[in-house]
Amino acid sequence: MRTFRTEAYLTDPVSRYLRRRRFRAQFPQAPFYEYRIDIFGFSQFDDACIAVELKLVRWQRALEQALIYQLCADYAYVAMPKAALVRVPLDRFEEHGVGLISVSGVGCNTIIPACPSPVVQDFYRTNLIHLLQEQSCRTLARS
Amino acid sequence: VPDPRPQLILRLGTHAEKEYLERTAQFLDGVILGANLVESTPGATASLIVALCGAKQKLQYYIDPMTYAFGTYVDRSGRLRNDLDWIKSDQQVKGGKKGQTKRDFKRSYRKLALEQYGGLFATAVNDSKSLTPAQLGPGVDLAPIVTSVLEYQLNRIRAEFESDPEFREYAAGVPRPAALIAPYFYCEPSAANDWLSVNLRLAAAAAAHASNIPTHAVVCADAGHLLDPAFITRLRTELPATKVNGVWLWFSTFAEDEAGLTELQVFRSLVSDLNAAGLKVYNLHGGYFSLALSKFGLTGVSHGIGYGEQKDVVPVIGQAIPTVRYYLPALHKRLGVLQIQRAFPAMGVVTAADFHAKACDCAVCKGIVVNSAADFRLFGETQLSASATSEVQTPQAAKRCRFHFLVNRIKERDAMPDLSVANIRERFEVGANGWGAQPTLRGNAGHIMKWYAALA
Repeated sequence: MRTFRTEAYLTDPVSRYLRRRRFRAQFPQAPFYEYRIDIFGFSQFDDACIAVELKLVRWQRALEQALIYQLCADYAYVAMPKAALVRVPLDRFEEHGVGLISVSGVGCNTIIPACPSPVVQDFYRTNLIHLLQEQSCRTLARS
Repeated sequence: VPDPRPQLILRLGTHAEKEYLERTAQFLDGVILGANLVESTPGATASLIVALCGAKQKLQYYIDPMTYAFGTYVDRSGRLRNDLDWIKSDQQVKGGKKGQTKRDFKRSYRKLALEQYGGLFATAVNDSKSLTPAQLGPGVDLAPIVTSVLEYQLNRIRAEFESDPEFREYAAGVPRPAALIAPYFYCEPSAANDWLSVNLRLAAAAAAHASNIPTHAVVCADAGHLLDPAFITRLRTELPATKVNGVWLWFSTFAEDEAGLTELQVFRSLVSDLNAAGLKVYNLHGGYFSLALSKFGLTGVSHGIGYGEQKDVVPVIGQAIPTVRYYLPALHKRLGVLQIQRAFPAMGVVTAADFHAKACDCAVCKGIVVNSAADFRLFGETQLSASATSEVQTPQAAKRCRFHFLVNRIKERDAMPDLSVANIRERFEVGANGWGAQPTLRGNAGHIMKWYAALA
């Protein structure tokens, strides 16, 4: 089984997985007040945004952060290595509507699908989508 | 008869904080300034003291002599330092190449030692070597040190007016400090008992110094000493014998919201015992738990503007400017805006009225949270940093958080005489079971039930 040494190793597989789920526009390390969302994605097709917290082991901290990301995203997820999921109480994630993604050497798999956020704030959501679009424009301009 | 109201004394860190002090001064019981601040900006500080503490406002003031800065300390790597490096900074070499720096004393501390305190303090700076317990041990006449430090507090502000022909006439009207603080040193862990002996002798010498102003001592020690029964016993028994009128406790890194139950209990009983021995007891860097200790004999608490409810003796260097967080009154703690906002639905906070009823109804919050609870985000609003690499809190948001905190702290102080210990503990329980039980806040609410137990 593949081992992930740092959270950064989770970024590529999760990013690819989100793209396949139509979240093509992505903002890594998106600033959200005191936080940095590991991946903030937007699907123009579904008009939906997603926030993903990558964590190697500390699921409690990840869940707390994902709950906060529900303020700015329609869907909030935690992505962790498959091997670490054995210690994660899945019911805690289900209880709060936070999704859980398992990451392994062969790719990603949604263990718990996120529920639409009950607390999303339009101001935060729109602001982050604008930031994402600006960032995409800058990237395009540079290329 | 209601219990006495604890004194709330604000510590001015820099003149950038002046506005907060000026706008809340009429509700405060005092202000405390470090002697290093006085020396770095003597004119501005003298004017401020006259404006706030003069005949019109009559706010009490204290000057912290900051003498501990000339003693030994243990740095963050655990090394005992006797080179006074903690009061030095990298400074541009005059006439040198661009970027060429040298490590030298900060101007304020140099002035304090060479031009004001003199004696052993001047020797320490000239030799770039800390004072040690041996230099201040039995047999050494402490009177010159005590006299220079106390006279400094008595006369420095007046002297600043006298030195300026334009303002000389106002010198006679300069108020005197509410108390004179004896010279003190940090009881660093490797020689804590030796330093404590020095401090007790300095306190006794200060108490014996002829003055009609009360004399206070400062106990500056590591938080770990709260768990050292022998050290605490010495404080209980030997401090009252010095004959000082009051004592300011400063246990470095003792954070009320992070401390263990035993530390909190020892702190409470120390306050109680010192007060029973006839001393006025203050916490130099305290928060709500200290205010609650007014029920057990604490006279007052001081803290900074937005910060300083605990302070590490060894300065933290190179830290990024922190976000000013929102003080949640129910938990008596500063927390992230998003952490709190995420708890709104579960706490039934939807409208602005809900917010005022369940979170905070202070004047600042009533002015900010107006249309809906979502306005709460204005306490944390951000902008792109100067380097355009990250989002940082806007100065306006930081200001709102600071004023909200100060207004609440004043309310907490005012409420204290009408609350019994049982009332305070009931409120802790309500806070812990309400806001403190929310998933995004639970991890930051553990202190509340420890406080509940410590006040039992």
